[in-house]
Amino acid sequence: MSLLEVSALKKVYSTRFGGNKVEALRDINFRVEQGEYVAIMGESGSGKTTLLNILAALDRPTSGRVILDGKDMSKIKESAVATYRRNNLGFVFQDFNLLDTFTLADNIYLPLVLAGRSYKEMHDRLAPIATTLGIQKLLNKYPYEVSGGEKQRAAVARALITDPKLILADEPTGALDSRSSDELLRLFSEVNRIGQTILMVTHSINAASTAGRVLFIKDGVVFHQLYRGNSTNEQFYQKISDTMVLLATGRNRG
Amino acid sequence: MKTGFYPHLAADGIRKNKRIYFPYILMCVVLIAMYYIVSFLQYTDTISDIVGVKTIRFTLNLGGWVLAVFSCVFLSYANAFLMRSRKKEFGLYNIFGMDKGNIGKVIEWETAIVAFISICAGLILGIACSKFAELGLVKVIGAETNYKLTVGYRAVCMTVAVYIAVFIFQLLNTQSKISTATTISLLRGEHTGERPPRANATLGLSGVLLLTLGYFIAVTADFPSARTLLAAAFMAVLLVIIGTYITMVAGSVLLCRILQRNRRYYYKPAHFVSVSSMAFRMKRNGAGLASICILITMVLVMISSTACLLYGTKFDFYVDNPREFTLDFVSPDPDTLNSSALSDLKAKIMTVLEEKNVSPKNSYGYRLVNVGVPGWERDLYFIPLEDYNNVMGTDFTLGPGQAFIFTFGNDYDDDNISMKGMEWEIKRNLEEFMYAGSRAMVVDKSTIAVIISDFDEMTRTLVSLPEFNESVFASFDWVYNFDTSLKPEKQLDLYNDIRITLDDLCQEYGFVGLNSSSRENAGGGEFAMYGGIFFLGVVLSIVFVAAAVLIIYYKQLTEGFEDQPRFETMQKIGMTKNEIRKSINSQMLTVFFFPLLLAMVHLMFAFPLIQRLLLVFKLSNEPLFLRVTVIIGAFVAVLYVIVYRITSNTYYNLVSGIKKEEL
Repeated sequence: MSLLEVSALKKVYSTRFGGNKVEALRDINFRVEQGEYVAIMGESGSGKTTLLNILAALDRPTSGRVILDGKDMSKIKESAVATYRRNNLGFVFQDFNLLDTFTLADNIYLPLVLAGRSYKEMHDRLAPIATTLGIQKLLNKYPYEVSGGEKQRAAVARALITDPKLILADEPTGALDSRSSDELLRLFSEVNRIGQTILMVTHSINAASTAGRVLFIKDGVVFHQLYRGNSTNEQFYQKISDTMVLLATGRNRG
Repeated sequence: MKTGFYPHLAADGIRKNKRIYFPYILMCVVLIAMYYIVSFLQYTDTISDIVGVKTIRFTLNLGGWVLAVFSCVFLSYANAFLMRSRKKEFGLYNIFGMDKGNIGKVIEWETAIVAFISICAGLILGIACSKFAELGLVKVIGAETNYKLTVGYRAVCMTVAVYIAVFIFQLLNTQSKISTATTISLLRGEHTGERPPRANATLGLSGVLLLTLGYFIAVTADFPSARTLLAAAFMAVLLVIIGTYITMVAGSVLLCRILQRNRRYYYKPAHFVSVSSMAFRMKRNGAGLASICILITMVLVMISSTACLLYGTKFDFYVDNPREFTLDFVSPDPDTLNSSALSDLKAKIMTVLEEKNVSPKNSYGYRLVNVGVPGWERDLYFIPLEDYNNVMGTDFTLGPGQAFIFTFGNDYDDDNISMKGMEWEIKRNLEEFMYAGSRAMVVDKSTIAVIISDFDEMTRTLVSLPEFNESVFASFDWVYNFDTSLKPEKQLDLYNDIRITLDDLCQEYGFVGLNSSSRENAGGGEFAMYGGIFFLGVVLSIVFVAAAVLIIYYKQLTEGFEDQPRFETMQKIGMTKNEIRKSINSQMLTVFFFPLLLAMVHLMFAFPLIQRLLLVFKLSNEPLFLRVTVIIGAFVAVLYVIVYRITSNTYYNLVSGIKKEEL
């Protein structure tokens, strides 16, 4: 059974007075297996943000189903959604969303504190993650005292510390310079190799080329998908790039 | 640019920021209305007939100035907050091509609009409430008034002039701030948060030191003269205010550090977020909390001391005037006090009253000899045991040469009491005394009432002294008290009616003078000043409470705006609404009750000083003061909780509304 199963997902936004209806997602179908690293690409307005919001349980679909680890997310009660999110999903945002009132360590602890875990447990969990991400020395600093790349690594640590079934990353390299981006993508690959399932939404071909599979979304449907197979990052980059060109010209024709 | 552009832009700016402008304007309206009322009462004719009108007018005038200065300071504070949250808007105007002068014009118009609305609404509210205020004042000082609504034109002019000046001050203040800022700093104005401050031990210690010094002065200062005492009080107040600010700022930072170090406390869902955000803005927080604390303290001190002054005086007054009417017949000759003449006189008084259709109730009379010797420490009142037993319904007995004494608050520890060669053994100190009517007005701590059985013998010995009327003086009084159960106004009429007839009676029976008094008659002048002070205390308290409420509101609102993105992130990560609630409650418990607590502590230390100040006004009624203080304290605490509830709801609604589209 797949870890994540998205079938016939549809989302229609209507304007306030019910006049115009905008179909953000028409019919999305895909599966993510345990341990996969999937990138979702698409241009602005293609519906990827809407998709991610639904996957994150921040929004509800108009119709269709999202099943995570055998549990239908649309059946979760509104009151339990936050807890569900906390226990099953990890988030990495484009603008880090670290809280400037907390040190990096406290930022990373936040989801566990909300879950009511003991300090000792949190502390024990953090140690290996911090080592993997190379932020052991930064833990007592505040977000405004460290660089963007370091902030994002702390954000990844915050996503990992709950041991989530799925990490949702929204343009994680969007606010980083190229060196920090490469470093982060390397970490993503490494975390994935240990067995962490990652779903990343991105514009960046460079970022997508580190994934195992890339889904292309256009006009609310999954338009195409590419598997890495045995190709290197560079080869995969080329494939993705070609597909993007195809997508763009396809739009011009259609 | 065409005319009407700036007013339009300004009006728009106010409308769009109504969440922060509305409370500001409301506060202005309240301040202006209060100022109008105070100056209206100062000039009103209603009080011009009462005794002590000068004192009241002086007090109200002083109160007016306090209000004006407070308005200026407080509106500056609120205005700074207003501008802080609007800097971004001005920055945008700046980018779109308006220079500082243009922005200045927008601000001018905004200030003008706010000033116009506030002054108009404030005056209307003030005029509408001035009648109630007048009735209130008249009630506490005991004058008469009609129910016609009048407008004090002089007061209106004063109010308009003072508040236009206040608003111009605000305008200049804002403009100087805008003109020194760059576009980028304007744009980012709202986000200039502070770095987590380090707990500064030296600062904290000096704050505690100042507080201790202030407390020390408050507790120990005891000067005989009112002026020195007031100066000491002023010094103590100043020290405590500065001490409070410093201690609050440094202390709250320290508190947060301690809480953060306590991992068991800190890493709990309810405390984690609140403690960290408190620590983050602790300096500002501390200043805000200190202001709230000081305002609450002022309200507590003001109301309790002025209420005490007024009601304590009233209480004492009732002690002095145990019945509605007191007739004190004075004679230099002891023979006037023979019992048949007195019962005759009593019957005559009855007749006089019956003619006026008044039947006296609860009446009692007694004889009293007041002996005074120049150079003596004490005055002595001699009262026959027979009369004491009669009045008090007791059946005490005394042998010759024995006495009961009653002291008016002082201690007399000797076993004997003597007067010009006569000596009595004191059997015991009495706890109750038939208050000596108008005589008690002049009773002070040095007076001792001596109740003896050999009263006639004592008077005979007294008048046969060679130095009698040379260096020993005495008056022989018959005091008669009664109630009429007439309405207060009628009592006054009756008093004026019978005074002359009674004076004639007095002569007829050999008395040389009559100190007659009616409780109503004595009341008016007596309370005028204290009434005025109490009234002003209430007015200022309302203003201070309103100010404290506004500070709390603005504090919650700014913090709400600041915390919005934080809580948004936390909700994305998985914080439930319930956890947000818990976090807000935790903050409330940790921080918001701190100023209230400290205010109570301040009050506790102020207690002895206030008592000594009240003593200057010849008022020593500790239980009453304690009771009033406790009631006021409880009232403020309840009010505080309500306000906190309401504003923390605003805060909750602000931070919990997650925007789903933004992920």
